[in-house]
Amino acid sequence: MGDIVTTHRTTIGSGIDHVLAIAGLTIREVWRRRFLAIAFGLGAACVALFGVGVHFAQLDVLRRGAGRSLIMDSAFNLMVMAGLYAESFLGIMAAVLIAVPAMAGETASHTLDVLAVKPFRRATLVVGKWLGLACVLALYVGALAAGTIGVTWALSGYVPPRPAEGVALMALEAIVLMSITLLGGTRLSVVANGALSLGLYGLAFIGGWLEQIGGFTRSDALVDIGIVTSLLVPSEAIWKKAAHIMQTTVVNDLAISPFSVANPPSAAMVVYTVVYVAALVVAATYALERRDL
Amino acid sequence: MCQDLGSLAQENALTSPSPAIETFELAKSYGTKAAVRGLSLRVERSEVFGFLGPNGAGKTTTVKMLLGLVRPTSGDATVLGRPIASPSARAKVGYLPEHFRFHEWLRVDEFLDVHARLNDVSREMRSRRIPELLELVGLTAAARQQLGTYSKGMLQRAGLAQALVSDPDLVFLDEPTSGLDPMGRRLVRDVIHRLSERGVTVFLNSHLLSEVEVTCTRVGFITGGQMREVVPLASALNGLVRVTLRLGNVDDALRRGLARWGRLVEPGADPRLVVLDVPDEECLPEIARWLVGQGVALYGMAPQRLSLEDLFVSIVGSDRSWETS
Repeated sequence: MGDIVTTHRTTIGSGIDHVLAIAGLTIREVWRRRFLAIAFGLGAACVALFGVGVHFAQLDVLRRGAGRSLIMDSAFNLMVMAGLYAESFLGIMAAVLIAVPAMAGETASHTLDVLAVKPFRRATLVVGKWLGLACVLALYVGALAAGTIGVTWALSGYVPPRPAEGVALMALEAIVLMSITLLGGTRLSVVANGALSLGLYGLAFIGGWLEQIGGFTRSDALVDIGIVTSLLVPSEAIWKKAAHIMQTTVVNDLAISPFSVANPPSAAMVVYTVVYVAALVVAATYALERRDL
Repeated sequence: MCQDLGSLAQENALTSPSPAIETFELAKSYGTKAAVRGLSLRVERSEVFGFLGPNGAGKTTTVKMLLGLVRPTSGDATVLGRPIASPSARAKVGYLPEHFRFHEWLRVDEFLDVHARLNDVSREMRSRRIPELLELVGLTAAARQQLGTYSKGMLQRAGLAQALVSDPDLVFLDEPTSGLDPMGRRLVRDVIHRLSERGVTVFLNSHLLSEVEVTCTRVGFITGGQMREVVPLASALNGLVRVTLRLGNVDDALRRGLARWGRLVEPGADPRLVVLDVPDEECLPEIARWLVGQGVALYGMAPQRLSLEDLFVSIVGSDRSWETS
């Protein structure tokens, strides 16, 4: 009995070690291929540029002798949200760019073959790659968003509401696209894989804006279109949830931001998205297990 | 006594309760195209088995099925006693693919470390085994170079080290010498001999018949996705003789009669010549006596020792079905 328990634990421990080894390999690839250096370098440039904007905005505030006020906070909030919106888009692009070579690329080049003959199921490859890519994206989106929020705080003293939750949701948004790309990569070529992911993002993006317009014009049809697209590809809905959390009540209630929504996504949408991502990983495992390499 | 080739193979086949590889009517189709058709094969432990056939015969597909990379359409197989669908079948298996592509951004020591870790080799064992393997394949000086900077031959050496990193009981080498210079080929040959001495089974896919001839204990010939013949190499080549008979009159009945001693080679332009591969020279007096007994005029009988290339052409060349499959 003791032997059985020990063997079981050893198997689990070995399985976790395999997943971590594949995750580490994935992260190392992103690093060695200089994605991180270039993405973080240009990300830092984006944050610096944003900081220049905040600096001049703050100078303007000081020149006018205006102190902290609801209006000033709303103005800085709008500014921060504009910066974060750009970064959420960079996160989406990064998700697709790093996930396409990780699965479709490795399958096409047959570098996956020598990993797939190791003594574990292909689920290990999928979960390991997903974990590695998720870590990279969380770090990338987190660093960009933290930089934007941090530089705003340093120069103006303003911090948007619930920044940690908002940034976590932005990372989740990128992870949704990465997971879609990983699943597509188990069956599609590199180019088709990229086209699928960006095309689905486009659908979610347009659906999200139609829902937003429908909310303000009270068009049920447009809202329904938005709901359906957000269920199919929840990335845009997650951004809206992040934006709603980080915008001030005034900005949300007066709908003075382009990211204000009449009906913000609920917490259930976040749960749905987490389940959606898990389902994508399971589907990617199923697809890769049944594919001839 | 003159023996037939099939009985030679049976006589030399070792018996073991758990062979290194065993396939039962293994088949793989891609749509309507059959890549492997009902392949049955048994490779014993500690054998160095050469798997030979023309391009497109189904060699790589067979290896990929045995390694779990390709799912068979039908049939079954075991590797080291375990079903190929089970990942545990690959726990003590090494593989050097034909079209090897590795993560070129890794240094070779990192590359071997990752593969050893994925094969559950402990950290302590890895720190010992990796330098040994690098030494074995002659890459110690280039251990900290990225694979992307390697030549094709160096990559193949790195791939060979990777195939051995789990201390395997069975190694699949798919065209292991295709990118190597003569020194590299000798190295692969030495490695195969050392593996064989240690009781490791080697399954070798190669077009270089001279390499196969000096390394393999048995060879299997595959064409059109089917196993045509398996022969114990040393004994087959030691005795195998190609005899050219010059006769007065040759008809189909005579050719059928001669086929009892061996394999008839495709008839040439001269209708009076019959070429026959027989297992040993002892067959020649028997053939002569039989011909005389049949009343056939025998003008000449020219025996000649066969190389593996002759054997390959004889088996593969006589079977044209694969060309239209």
